[in-house]
Amino acid sequence: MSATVFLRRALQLIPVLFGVSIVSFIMIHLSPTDPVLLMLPSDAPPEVVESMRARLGLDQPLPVQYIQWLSHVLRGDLGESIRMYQPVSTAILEHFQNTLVLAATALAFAFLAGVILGFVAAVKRDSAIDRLSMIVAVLGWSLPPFWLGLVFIIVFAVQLDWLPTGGMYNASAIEPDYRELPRYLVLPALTLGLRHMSYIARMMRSSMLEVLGQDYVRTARAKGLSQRTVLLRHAFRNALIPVVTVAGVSVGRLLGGAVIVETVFSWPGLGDLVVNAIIGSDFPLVQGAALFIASLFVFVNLLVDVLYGLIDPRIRYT
Amino acid sequence: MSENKQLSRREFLNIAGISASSVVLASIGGAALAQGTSEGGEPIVLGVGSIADAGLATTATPCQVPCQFMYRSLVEYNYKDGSHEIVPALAHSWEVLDDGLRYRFHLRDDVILHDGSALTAAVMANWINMQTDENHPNFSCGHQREKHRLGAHDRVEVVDDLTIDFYITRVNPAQMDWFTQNAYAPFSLPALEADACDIILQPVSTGPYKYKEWDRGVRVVLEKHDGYYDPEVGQTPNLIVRAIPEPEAQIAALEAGEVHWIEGISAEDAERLRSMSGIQVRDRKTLYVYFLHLDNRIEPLNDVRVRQALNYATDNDSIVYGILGGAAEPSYSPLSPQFGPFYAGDQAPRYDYNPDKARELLAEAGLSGGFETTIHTTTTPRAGQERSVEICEFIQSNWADVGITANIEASDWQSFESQRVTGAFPIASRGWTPWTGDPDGTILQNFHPEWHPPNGRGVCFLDDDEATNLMNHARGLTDLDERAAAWIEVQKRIVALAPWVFIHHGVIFEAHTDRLKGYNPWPGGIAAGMDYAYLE
Repeated sequence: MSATVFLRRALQLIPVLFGVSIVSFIMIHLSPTDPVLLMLPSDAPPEVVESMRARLGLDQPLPVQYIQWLSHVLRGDLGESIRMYQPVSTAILEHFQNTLVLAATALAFAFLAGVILGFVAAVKRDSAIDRLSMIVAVLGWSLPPFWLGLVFIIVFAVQLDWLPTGGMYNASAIEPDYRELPRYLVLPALTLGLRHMSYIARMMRSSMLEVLGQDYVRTARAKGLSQRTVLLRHAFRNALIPVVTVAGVSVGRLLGGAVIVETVFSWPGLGDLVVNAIIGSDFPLVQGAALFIASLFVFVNLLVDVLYGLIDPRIRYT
Repeated sequence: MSENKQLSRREFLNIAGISASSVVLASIGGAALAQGTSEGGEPIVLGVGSIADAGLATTATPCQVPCQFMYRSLVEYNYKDGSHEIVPALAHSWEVLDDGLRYRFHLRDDVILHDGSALTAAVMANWINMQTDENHPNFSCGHQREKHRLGAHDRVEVVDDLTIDFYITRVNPAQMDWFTQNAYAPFSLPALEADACDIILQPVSTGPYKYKEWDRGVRVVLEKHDGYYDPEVGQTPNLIVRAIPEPEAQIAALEAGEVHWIEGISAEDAERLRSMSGIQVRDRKTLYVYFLHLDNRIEPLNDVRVRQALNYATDNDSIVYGILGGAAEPSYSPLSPQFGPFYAGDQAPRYDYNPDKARELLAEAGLSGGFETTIHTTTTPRAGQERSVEICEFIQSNWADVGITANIEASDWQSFESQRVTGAFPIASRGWTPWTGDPDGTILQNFHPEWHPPNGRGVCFLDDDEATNLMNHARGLTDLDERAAAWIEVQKRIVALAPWVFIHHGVIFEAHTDRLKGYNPWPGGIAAGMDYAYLE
């Protein structure tokens, strides 16, 4: 991708992001909700309601509110969270890094376990191992994460007492000890990654089977190469290409799926933050998070387009 | 074949590797979770449902869980006997002067704030002025969120070091209840002068526990304030409030010993936990009331016989014990029995379930063939109004038995409430969660004509001269006994007029470990009940 093409693609993002900002803003303000009434208790007197509305700038016409908000956003100011008492951007970034840790671990687990499971199933096609692997894959794909997460908690945290029920560190201790993070990651990462592992395993198996039927594999065998060399050096690497693409697509889904897993495991990530912001009517935070997440996806898509061009020279952008 | 065997071993090793890593990770946690300890002992850990409840920032809502431990006001309710009797706190005594327009408080001389500074009348005055005086250098630093919790406040005057006068704008019999609010729990003057606008994140106030750490979205850690004036209050060296949004995960954390106390559990879970050893389930009766309002202006609801018929046709006991599993008490008045001397449920007319009586009243009103109406409700569970849709569906079937066809329209809380307050719904469900133990907030706002929309939320549009006169009389009285008697008369009249279908008063189920001793659930909140709590 030439610099000009890249620049053109980047410029195309401006109207997209502009649209995203309008949708993020309108979504909150079109709902027939009066956020002020939700923030105040049942018996708050009307003058308090009015003063709160004025303080939040909600007494202004909608276009004025939007322009004010957008002008702040363009200066990097997403506003102040009503309930967290900190800038929206700080709240988002702090929680997003926690989501990244969880999603990255889940992806690593999903990729490694999925590839190995699919590989073994393909090599041992129609054997008991193959069937067992695919049963695991089907189960992993079918079980809803909110249910699976709770089962994991009950079995591994309550019954066996091996792992904690949730959080990122022992929140019941006075001083946090972040070295414990791996223990706290196991259950949420397994819950989040299992579905993707299943998908990757099935993809790996079919990709591997397809590759094993190719002429060059037959040629390799005919040359007298060992089974190990044929499978690992010739078949495995080629079978991996579509799997890598699938894993890439999974990143977005992992970030989305993290919402449920974060809630079940009290993981203080972006999903948890947004859910609580919605419940708590923290509309500057909801607005800011919607804009952030949408922008993130737009940029990731651009990045993927760029990477495709770099990885596969056959893809050319004009 | 030999190649295959070799490969199988590798496959096996690969799979074993994954298993081994999992086991290693899991075995790091092989030992039981170490509970946090401090020099003075193990902290009490409270598991709460939302980030907001485990946060310090509260906007305009009453102080959330951690703040309850960090603030103490001029006076407080009687936490020891669990009543709404007002007893001394920061002030050891008070006088009501100028025919109820001035309150003089005599402060204790042994109140030390969290930073070691002493409480004086000047500290209190500064705190109040900061919330009310636009010329105060720290006005608008975020603390004005509690400004409206000062009631009918006008101004303060320092009389001497430990005496302070509060002037109010109008005689307000409920003013003493306002003085229990956190708005009257002062922050340290030196701390405000040093860091006024940031102090909201690290309160330096008067309560038995002080701020230690806030990890947003995760927890708040508090530590015992050694200078607290009552050495018996605050028995545990540290207190941690943890956010665990998922109810099942909260219960799991209690079972695993990670938290010591949780609340808001369902009746089914309460039943299950009751049978578990090491866990106690407690009921916390509340001031809440859940009802259907009936728009008194609209036919046929403008006929008192129809409104009474709807009450008789509603089987409250089945709602309370069937749908809610006992997580409520049947309602016979707008006020819950927790209002103590103000409660009139045992004196007002009662509408025990009686479909025959309902049919009779409908026939008298010329509606023997019934009528069609719509019940509006919300799908969003909130404190005091859980399972609204199920309850309304049950009422729908109750009413069908007496010939009334009720359609149900349910929407999310936001859209529901914003329409409800305009008076758009002839019949709608609502849970009302009073702030104070005074009846004014509940009764006036729902039934007095001054609070009809758009000025307030009195969406049943009750307009009865006798009821209004009784309310006007009751709201002007300051003597507790006279007030209680007057408010009871008000309720008797209101219940007779049946502007609501009275349904229930919520009961919150809490569960805690057996090791938590000295905890006494109190209707108004968690912290007060924890005053004398400790872990065995």
